[in-house]
Amino acid sequence: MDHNKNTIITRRDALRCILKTTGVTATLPLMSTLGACTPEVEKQLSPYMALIEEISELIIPETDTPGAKSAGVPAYIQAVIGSHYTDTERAHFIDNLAVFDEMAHAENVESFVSASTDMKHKILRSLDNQNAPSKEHAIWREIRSMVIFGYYTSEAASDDVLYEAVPGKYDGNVDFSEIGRAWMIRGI
Amino acid sequence: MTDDVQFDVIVVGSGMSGGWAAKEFCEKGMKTLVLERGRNVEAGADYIGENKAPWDMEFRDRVDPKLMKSDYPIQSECYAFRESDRNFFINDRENPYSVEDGKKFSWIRGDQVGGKSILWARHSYRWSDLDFGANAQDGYGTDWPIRYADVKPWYEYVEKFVGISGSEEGIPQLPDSIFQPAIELNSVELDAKAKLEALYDDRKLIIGRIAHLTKPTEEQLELGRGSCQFRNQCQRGCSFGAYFSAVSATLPAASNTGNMTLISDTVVERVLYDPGTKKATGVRTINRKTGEKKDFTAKVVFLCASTIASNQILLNSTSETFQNGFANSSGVLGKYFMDHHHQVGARGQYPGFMDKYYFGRRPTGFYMPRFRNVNNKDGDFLRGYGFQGEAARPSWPRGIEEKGYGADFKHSLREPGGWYMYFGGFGEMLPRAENTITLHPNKTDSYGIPQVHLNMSLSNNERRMREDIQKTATEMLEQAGCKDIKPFNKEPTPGLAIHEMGGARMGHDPKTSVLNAYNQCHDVDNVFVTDGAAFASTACQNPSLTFMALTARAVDYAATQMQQGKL
Repeated sequence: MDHNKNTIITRRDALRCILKTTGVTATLPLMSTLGACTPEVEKQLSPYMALIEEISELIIPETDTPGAKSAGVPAYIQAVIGSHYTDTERAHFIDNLAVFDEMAHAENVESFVSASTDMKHKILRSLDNQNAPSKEHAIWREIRSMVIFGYYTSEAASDDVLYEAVPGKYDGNVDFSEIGRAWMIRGI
Repeated sequence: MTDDVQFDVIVVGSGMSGGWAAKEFCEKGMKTLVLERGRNVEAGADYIGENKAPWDMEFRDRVDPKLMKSDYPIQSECYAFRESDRNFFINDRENPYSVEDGKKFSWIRGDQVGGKSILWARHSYRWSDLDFGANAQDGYGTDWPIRYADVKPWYEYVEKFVGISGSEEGIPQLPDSIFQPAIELNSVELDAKAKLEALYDDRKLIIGRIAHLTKPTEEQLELGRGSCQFRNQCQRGCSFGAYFSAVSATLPAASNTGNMTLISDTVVERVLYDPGTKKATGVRTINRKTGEKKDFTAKVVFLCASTIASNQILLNSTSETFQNGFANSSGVLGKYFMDHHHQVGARGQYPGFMDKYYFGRRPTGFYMPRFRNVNNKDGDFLRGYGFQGEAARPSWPRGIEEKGYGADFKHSLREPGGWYMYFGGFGEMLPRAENTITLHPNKTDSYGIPQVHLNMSLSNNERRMREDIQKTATEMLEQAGCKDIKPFNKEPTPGLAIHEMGGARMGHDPKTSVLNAYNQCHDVDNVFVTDGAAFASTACQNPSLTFMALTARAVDYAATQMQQGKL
């Protein structure tokens, strides 16, 4: 696995060199550029960012690879809510976020963020196990979907699933053990 | 720049067909003016989405839904529409068209030099006499005035230049092209191929034949083209020039001759006609930036503007002589409009092969050539269909559909899911007079040109065919051993196969067709239409390779006539 990971990183660096030497115009920034919201929207969202960060990291935690937080997922979500959502959708999203604190209150805890780790898991498990359509289930699926999408399209996730910018060949009959991980695909 | 040049030829459109017309005329020494309504595209520099990793894009290649709704409600229905290639789709808000009440038609359009050849799915298949003879066989439409023998040398001619990867199969209804090395089927597709070919002697599962270089020729290398790198992000544009587009191949070849003048941002309003000589004198254009109208003259005009746009230009080119559209003494102009029908088939889980995977992003899938109504009448419908499909293992997006969160969930997504396989049909649509392109009586576009009004629906023949597509796809997945098979048959939106054809069909008889066997207007011998508008039927194969072959063939004919002083 480590061997493969090194190969991938080497290839990625090699690509930058290839593109430079062949004169191909390319933009390959190392870090993503995030944060297209207007200052007003940023202000509107800022009270909720701690909650979004907390939920993101619980959904995709740091393990032997980076978690959602260090992958920049909260900033990605902020950008989507801030720029792609309509004012109505954004207001609706913010309203529905209250679900997490309401569920914490039901457990006699002041807020989701201040709850114990066990309590947070209890709340998320109950949300994840729901099947019937409800306000709670909808906000959980909405935020969960954004976290997964945001994480697995981040550069940090290329330590978790494999990304080859320029594969250079197609081999349709490879032993999975030679690859060792799923390919990062674009997801849309 | 252009005022002092006497052009031999005007080519309207710079995409799949226009690029070929430009290259061929220029290489024959003709001064050629290429007019493109869209903006200019420079290979490489204007591939603005290329080389971007998902995280290099703020919204990870997703288009702002508000922008989709306001500016791209039609284009966003295309499977390839993303932020990284949005620059190659037309803006719907700025370019309205009209559709018959109660019907749908999604007109997917490029708006640039290279047209949709930048965006195409690159599948390239020859047609056979089963296709060119279909109208004569069952009486729908009028007979094609050409047969496979007429087109075969031109398929060979364009294939050598384009570069088609594929496998030689010797299938009569899907003649082999001149191939570069085939891309591989994967382990599961090979397993399904063995099972299905053993069971059905009329079927073959082969690798999709696509216009990608796998062993470039000297000629291709000299044009700056190279081998496919298996990124499968083709629609963003490819600086390797590995897939064929007008921008990567035909237009550079045309430009190298020094005989091409290409003017972008120039909309052709109409073809100009001189009743005295009974010839076209040129075209009237509108500069998209300034609104200025300008006439260009030439000895010969080639319309390669795309099926719908070429019909629009012809319908709008009225005069005392042609009151119902240019070269329309037959009255059939704009009729017998067709597309393929698709989004029907089946998908299932393919058990086993959990130790198998693949390397690289393959820009094609498998293809199963037509097997219905080939040697025997074995369908309760006319004509036939082919399948495109794929076997693959789902990656992390399955996590969105499933339940779960946390470390175990994250680690479970490191492995791909189990294999799935799908078959998606592409069916032939009968040529029928009631499917039409007309001009709207009052609505105009921002240039004051009447909007096209599109009217297309499926006949019961297509609906019966779709039932069969769904049934055979399901059966084959069962026979291959699939589980959890899910057939699908979406109500089709005409246009979304993006294989529009017809409206100015070729035919033997000037009373029932617009063009002769060389794509030349029966009524006006110096005007040719060589895009999909010329087609008398659709076959079930992807049509672009045939657009290219017929264009090269028509140029050869026109140039010979010009050299003999007949045009």
